[in-house]
Amino acid sequence: MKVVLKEEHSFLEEVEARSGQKVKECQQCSKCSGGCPFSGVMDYAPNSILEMIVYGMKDQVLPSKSIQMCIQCGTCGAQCPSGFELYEVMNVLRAMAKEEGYTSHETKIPKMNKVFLGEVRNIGRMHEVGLMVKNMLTQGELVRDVAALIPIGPPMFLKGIMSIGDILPHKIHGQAAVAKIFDNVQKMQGGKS
Amino acid sequence: MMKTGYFPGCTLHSTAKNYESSTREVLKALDVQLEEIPDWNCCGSTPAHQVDHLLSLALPARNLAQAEKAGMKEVMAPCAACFNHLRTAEIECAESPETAQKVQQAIEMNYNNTVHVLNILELLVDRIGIDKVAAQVKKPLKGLKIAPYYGCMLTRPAKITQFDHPTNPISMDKLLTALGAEVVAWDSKTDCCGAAYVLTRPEVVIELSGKIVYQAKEAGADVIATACPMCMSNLDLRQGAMSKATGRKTQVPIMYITELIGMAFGISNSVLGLRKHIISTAPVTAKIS
Repeated sequence: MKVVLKEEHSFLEEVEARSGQKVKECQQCSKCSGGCPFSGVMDYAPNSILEMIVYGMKDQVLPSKSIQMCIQCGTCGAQCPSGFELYEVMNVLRAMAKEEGYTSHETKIPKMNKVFLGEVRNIGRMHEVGLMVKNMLTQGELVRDVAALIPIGPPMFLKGIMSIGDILPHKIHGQAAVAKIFDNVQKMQGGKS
Repeated sequence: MMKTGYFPGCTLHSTAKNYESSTREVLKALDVQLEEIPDWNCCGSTPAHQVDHLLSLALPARNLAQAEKAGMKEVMAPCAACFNHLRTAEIECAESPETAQKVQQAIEMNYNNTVHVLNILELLVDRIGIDKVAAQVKKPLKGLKIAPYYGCMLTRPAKITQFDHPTNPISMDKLLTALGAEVVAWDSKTDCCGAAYVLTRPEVVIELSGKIVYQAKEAGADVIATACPMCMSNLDLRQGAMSKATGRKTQVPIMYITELIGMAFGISNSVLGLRKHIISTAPVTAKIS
């Protein structure tokens, strides 16, 4: 029987070349997944993602929730006996998913990221009240989110953690320059930012 | 008098005002003058990092370029996440001229990689020195048991942070000991609190942050010390939710490292901003006279 692995190999090779990490040297010890704070809510544990890359399972890896969930806390890398940094692999996978137009199974985190970066683009800084309110409106869990806010919102004002002055955003002078950074990056990345 | 560039970051101007006031007060007592980066912008935080790698370098790089223009050689960022993202831009641009060129093209400014980014612990321990900090102690934190919580953004990835150890650091331990406090041994020193996922998957963050709080309690800590506004927010604001989720009531005060140093320096509670916590810091201040 003849097995052709050409295309599969190119996925592994591209990930290795772009991340600088030798994915096929993974020993599948699973320490990364044991340490990862989010492996419990991922669709594939971090060590599985590595194995899937070796097997060329691009169409499963690139739309996965897992690659959108990596927060770069570096717990995996600090425990890896092969000494590689898994977050570098995750960064490359996210970039490839965007470049190749994959739709992610993870929807919550991309929505929050969009709201957050929208604030930064329009103000130059992150406005916490704006982020909280706009994010609540996009997540589709309004009842849960408002219920969670009730016990902490009023005490935050009473204790001075937040004040009236924090309710409205304050634009920085260089806001236009910051918005330009977003535009430039989008152009430089081929319109896929 | 020592001078250093300063990047407060968005939270120190909103929900972490007490981190800003205590940092300023403590450094004033240590004769360090802070010079704020002119018209700084958000570092991009985790969202920029997740959405586009170049954006995650360009946003912090504009700040570094602004600092260079103002003649700064070093910039201290008290927020662990801001520190991590600014330092990532510094290191990745230093390592690759191609990256540095792309970043400059994106920000439309010159950036020559002449500014070094520091976190608050590096400034206090490596630049100022523990002896100098200890010399300012007027009210030793005697009898106070502290769980030093470093989290992930100060410590990892090791290549970026170059912290004293990626999973078992001791710089904060040494600093707290120099203030007269007792540091407890515990396992959650560098665990992740779940960070901004509190806005998307609160149940996961409550579990992760809960583990940290319960660990500290079991280790006998009176208070958890942190150097990160995101960790502060998750650990302080969500203890009610943690109690509800586990059925085990918890009330562990969380304080910024600079608040604890300020207390030991004899700076008044109101100037430091010790009231600005959901879990009252009164049991901690009551122990120190």
